[in-house]
Amino acid sequence: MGKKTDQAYLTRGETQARIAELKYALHLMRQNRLVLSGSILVIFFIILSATATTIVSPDQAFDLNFSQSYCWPSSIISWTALAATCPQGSNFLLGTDGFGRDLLKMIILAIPLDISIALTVVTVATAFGVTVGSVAGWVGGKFDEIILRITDIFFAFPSLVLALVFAALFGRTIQNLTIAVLLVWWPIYVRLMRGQVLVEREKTYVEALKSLGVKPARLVLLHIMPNAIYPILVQMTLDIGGVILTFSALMFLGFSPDPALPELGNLAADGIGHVFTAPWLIVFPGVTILVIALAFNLVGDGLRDVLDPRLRR
Amino acid sequence: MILVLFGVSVIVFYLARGFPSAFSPWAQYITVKTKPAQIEAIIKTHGFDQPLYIQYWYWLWDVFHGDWGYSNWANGLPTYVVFSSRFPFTVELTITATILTLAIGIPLGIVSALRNNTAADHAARIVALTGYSVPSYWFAYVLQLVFAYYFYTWGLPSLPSGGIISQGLQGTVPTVTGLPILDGLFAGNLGYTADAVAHVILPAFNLSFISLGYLARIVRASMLEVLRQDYITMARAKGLPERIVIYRHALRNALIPAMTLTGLFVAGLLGGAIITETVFSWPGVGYVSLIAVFQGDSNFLLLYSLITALIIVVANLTVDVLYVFLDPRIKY
Amino acid sequence: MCILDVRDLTVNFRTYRGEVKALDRVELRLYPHEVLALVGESGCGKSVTALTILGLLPQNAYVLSGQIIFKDVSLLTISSDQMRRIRADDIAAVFQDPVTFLNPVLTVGVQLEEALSLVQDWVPYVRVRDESSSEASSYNIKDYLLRRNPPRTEGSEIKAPKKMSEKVTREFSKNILKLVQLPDPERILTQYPHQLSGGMRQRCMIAMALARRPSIIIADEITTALDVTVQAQILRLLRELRDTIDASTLLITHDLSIAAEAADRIAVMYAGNVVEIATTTELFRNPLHPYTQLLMKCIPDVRRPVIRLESIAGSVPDLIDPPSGCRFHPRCPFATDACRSTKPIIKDVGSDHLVHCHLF
Repeated sequence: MGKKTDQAYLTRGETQARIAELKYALHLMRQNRLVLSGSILVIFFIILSATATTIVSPDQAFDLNFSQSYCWPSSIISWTALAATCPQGSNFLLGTDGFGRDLLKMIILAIPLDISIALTVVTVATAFGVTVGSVAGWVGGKFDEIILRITDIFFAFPSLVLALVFAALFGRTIQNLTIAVLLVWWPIYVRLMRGQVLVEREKTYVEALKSLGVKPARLVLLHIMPNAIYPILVQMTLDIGGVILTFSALMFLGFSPDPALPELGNLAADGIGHVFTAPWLIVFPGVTILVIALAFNLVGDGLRDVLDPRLRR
Repeated sequence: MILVLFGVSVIVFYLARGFPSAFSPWAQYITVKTKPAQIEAIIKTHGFDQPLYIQYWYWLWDVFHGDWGYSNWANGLPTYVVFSSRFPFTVELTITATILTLAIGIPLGIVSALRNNTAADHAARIVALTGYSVPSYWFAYVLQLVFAYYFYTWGLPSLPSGGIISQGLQGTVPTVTGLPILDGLFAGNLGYTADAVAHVILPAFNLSFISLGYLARIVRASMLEVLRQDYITMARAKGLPERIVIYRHALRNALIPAMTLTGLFVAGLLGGAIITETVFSWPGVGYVSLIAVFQGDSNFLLLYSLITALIIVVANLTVDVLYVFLDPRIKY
Repeated sequence: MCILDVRDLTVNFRTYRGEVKALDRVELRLYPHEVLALVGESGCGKSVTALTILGLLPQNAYVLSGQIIFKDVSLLTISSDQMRRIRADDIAAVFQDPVTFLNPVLTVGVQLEEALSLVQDWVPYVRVRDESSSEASSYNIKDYLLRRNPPRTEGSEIKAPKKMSEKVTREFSKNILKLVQLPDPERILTQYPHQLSGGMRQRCMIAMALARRPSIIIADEITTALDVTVQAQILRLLRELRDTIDASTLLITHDLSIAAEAADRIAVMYAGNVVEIATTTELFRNPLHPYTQLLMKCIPDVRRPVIRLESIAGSVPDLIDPPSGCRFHPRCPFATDACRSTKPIIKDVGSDHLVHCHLF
């Protein structure tokens, strides 16, 4: 019976317990109808993102036809007195935008872009933030102090302002804007993870593992991380919605690299000057963002309820 | 705290002046008529031709002498005047939004907690989550469309779509506090006040819709936790009516985290809600900060970001102190 | 004759992992002026019994069958409002570990006055007292607790203030705190729970219970969270109050020695059943149920040197899937086939000694 077997035994026991917990968590989530519908929506959107290019060909984005811009297909529902009606025979379901493109198709093309950016930002921010945060929490001392101050400075700015500033500086490409949003988002994970590590560090199982001679890196990765991961998971899910909101807000405010880019905020921006002549341009992209964010938030909220040990049962 | 402010100023300074942009830093001090010699002089006095860290020192020196610079795009007024003339409007918006948030968010959270897992809870949850899933600019436009335009066309009493006060009433009341609602009350001019209220409702609601979602969730979570506590069982065992158990025993404990969140929310709002102010043409500090960004006005941006950062830092401290008052268990 | 009659009480809890059969046909009787101790290991259902009597079971619990009769009122069938009235007037509870049982953001005074404010026949006493405050000295707190009418003087009018005035409440609060032997009641009323020591908090809780002049006081592990010296003080306090107050006490504890010291009768519980009830002397002299006998053996005797500490083999059963028949049979040295298959019924073996076992 060597040290390795002890460690392996510990990990095995832990994983079994965690699997049982996860099963219970899933059961709870399935019971809540709202969370269930949120999850279904999320899955729907992810599938949509993956298959969007097969439904609508990306060339459609370049299919500009100014003669039919800002028009609404049916004369039955007239949005406003000033809205134009599309020429007969056109089958636009949600009207057209300033470039004469079918809004519905543009929205379908825009969804994968927004979702993938959100997933990228959240994943990278989490990976980076969790690493820095766990080191700061574990090591403590000067390093911890410095990291704290840095996050404080980031928190002193409202997130939109910070993203705006970065966006204004970096230039208007999608990559740069993604980086801008990323820079706004990573501090929260640092703080979260650091807080969790600080709490877990004092617990007796950590002492036990340390006395077994487990190296710190392994300890943090294999043992502390799974216990600390729950609030981070919740934050990630909730943040996906937040990133989409911020990113599209940036586009909306005018940082888009290309006015014709099919992106939800950008499509909505097209409608600013036409609030009363083509209100559908603002309404529908916004509704899409709302539904996507709501779906992720439902899941995240349900996760939070379920994974919070104090609120169980 | 000073360190944070210092850090903020350095970062903003670097961002504003260090990056090549279309606007030169001295653009704020000159008009079309300024002669080249004068431009040279301005450059010399403010050190715009020096390396960045020396520029920073010049700026610091100016600031200590009360010179925060001028904003050309705002009729060449000193930046602090630009800020202070707009700040009361942001304050009015902030106060109204906070009242709305508390008035809607807290009951929403309580209902969710008391009727956990019932239809009421689900409905409350959807409202709360929609709150922070909604893009604020979109919601602003939708509010405008519905309440300003559609109500008007359908013949219903409609709300104005922007501005702080109707055109005809501007300047009819002496400025005491700078907040239209309060000024109207001080002057006893109820018509003015009513008009001001009508103007502030939509933007305030837009702002509060997002935060009341957060607030409701937090109130719900802390209420649920409090309701499981032993002292609630004790209170019930004393035979107290359920109403008193909830309002006196449970809420007092549950609202503590909610209060701290509200403090931070107010601080964030005082920095100016850029999007809301833009959509509703609300002349607050957020609105002008956006213009400043697009004009490359580093002086205003420095002033603005420092004040905002200061407000947030002060708010954090206040919230910490508030915590001590609210929870008698915490001692320093 | 008895003031509280628990018959055939069965309570289950609905949980994710199954139904917990917490109480299984519990039978108890509480007589006036007595102290009945409910003794058992952790998890045997003592607190659940108390909560059921009080009507404070959590949402996932439900009463499967049984009756609780209190002064001719069936507690399980009345409305929650009536139950609340009973909690305010007649049945008071004192719990363990007042750190969590007192609201940390309210002062002790506020919480005590809350308890006072609910007492219903408060007004007749107040009326007289308000008008003739010189009568304060001749009307003492013990009379109040024993529901004896205060003396009336000539010509004192009876005007009825709807609610007690603040001053009167404060006076009564102070008097009650003095009764539970708390020094400086004036100051204690203004303090928060965390500023008091464990013993003082427990006395405050007892004061809150006494203030309602209950017929029954349920004391759920009130000394468990205190250290031994304070424990002794509290027990002594209870003993002294016994003569003053007119209530019966249901003393719940896991410590047999506390039961021995403070109780008139003892009921032993195991895994949701009451297995034996007898007077204290009778129980210690003649324990009948195997579980009781084993418990007695576990108590080390200070007079004799002990070579090793005794314990009962096995562990407490899982109440989701309890043993069939008599729940104690897996650990019982005398188990028979009957014990494994059928549940024993209560038998009276004379001199008020009841046992729940097939062997008798």
